Amino acid sequence: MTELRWPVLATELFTADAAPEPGQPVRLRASHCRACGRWEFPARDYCPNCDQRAIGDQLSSDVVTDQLSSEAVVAGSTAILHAPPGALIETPYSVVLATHPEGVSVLGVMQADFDKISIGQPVRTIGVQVGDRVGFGYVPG
Amino acid sequence: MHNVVIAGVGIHPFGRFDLSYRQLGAAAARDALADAGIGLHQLDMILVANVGAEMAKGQNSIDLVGRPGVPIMNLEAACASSAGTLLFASRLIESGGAKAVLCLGMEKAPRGFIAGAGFEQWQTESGLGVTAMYFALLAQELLATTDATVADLADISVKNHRHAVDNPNAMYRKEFSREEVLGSRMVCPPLSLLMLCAPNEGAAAAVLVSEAYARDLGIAQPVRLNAVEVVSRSTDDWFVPAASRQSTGMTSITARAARQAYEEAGIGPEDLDLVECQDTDAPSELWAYRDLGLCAPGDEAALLRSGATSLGGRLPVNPSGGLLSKGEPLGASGMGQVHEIVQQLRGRSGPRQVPGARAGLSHVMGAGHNAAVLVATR
Repeated sequence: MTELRWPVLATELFTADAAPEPGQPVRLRASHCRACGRWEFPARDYCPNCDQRAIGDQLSSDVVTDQLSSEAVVAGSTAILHAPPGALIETPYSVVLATHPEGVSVLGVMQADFDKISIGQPVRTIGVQVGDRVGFGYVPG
Repeated sequence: MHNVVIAGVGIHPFGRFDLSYRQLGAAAARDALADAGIGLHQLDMILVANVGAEMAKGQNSIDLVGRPGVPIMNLEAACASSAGTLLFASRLIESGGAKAVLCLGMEKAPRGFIAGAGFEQWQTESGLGVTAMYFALLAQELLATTDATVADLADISVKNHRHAVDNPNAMYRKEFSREEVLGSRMVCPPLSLLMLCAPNEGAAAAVLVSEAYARDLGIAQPVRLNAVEVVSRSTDDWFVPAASRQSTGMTSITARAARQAYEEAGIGPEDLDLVECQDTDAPSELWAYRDLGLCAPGDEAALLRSGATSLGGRLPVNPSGGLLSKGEPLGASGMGQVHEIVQQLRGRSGPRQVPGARAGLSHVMGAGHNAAVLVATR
């Protein structure tokens, strides 16, 4: 249940206090530009806004990897009713575009019926089962 | 751009066929060469757009047409693949590096959701590798921020299917009512099946030549390619397959490509007689009205409802029936638009003819944050 993370560049998608499990709180890892304040998910080693770059192991750099707040607000939603190729979760399921207070809106599967999701609804990030790994998703906050 | 003429166009109809990609491509290539009145051996180069086939695909297809011995290069930029061939060919001709280039788009796409649209493994396995999900979220945003309704989304599909009835190259040549569109199987709310185009098969081609060579060929009233602009992702753009966007808003790859194309061509949206745009899904056509400058932001549905974008209106959009009716053979869909525009500008579109058409615009956008806009005039 633990070997769970998909490598994305040199960082990971999210962090958790303990070995992540479905339903446990997780926090998304994102890059943060200390020069202009922009956040980017998944993390990049450059800032798309002001083109600052991470240097070496991020010492003396304006771009660092940090955590997004676990709390977010629904900005958009839809549902996937027919299994897409390669997906390891059961259909139907709901998807939200969730806005984190840092100013980045992330796509994620939401554990709620589509018709129960509303724009502006508070949500938070949790671990969700994806095949034999744990990914991230959202639940009502 | 001042020195590039579209000397001829060709097409193999879009649909499902018991033919290989090689045969589809060869048919369109022959058609375009015949239309231009030029032989394979008069070409300086052949550029081939395709997304899904094997290595050396252009070489394999052209081998069914002939053996000209000139460079054959394959090019891929998702939905902008065809536009990419026209970009390179036109820049080459404009700079004096070639006088005649064949641009060919061909595709034999699998059925259903498009796989391999550039999603990372974690996105695909997590259930987030779905192109229609992006279209649905953009549709929802349009419905929330303008007066557009779900009925307007359906009416885009109704309009384009009505246009396709007279297009022998379209996959679907049948009219649908608003109720039929709304009642079709829900895919990603608010998008139902008939608001989404189907990946399919087909090919189209264009022969680009220099102005001097067009005169040698005896082309009296040439169709000029005035602009081809292709853009990729910039700071705040958001489309397939990006996992997130900035919550303060996003910029449009289409709008940027359009601005560049209008500037290059020296004309504006008010000068256009017809538009072929990327209606992968019905709301994308409404977004294109805004991003191509056909209306002010917020007036997209009003423009549709006025009838201006229907055949017989002031500025018909997708007179071919669009991708909703033709289907979307990725590497060929943009070239299919060019085929439509060139035939319209020549007055050869039969019952779908836009009377007196002098200026046309073609637009594509797709996975990987590609957008292309081209302008042709006669």
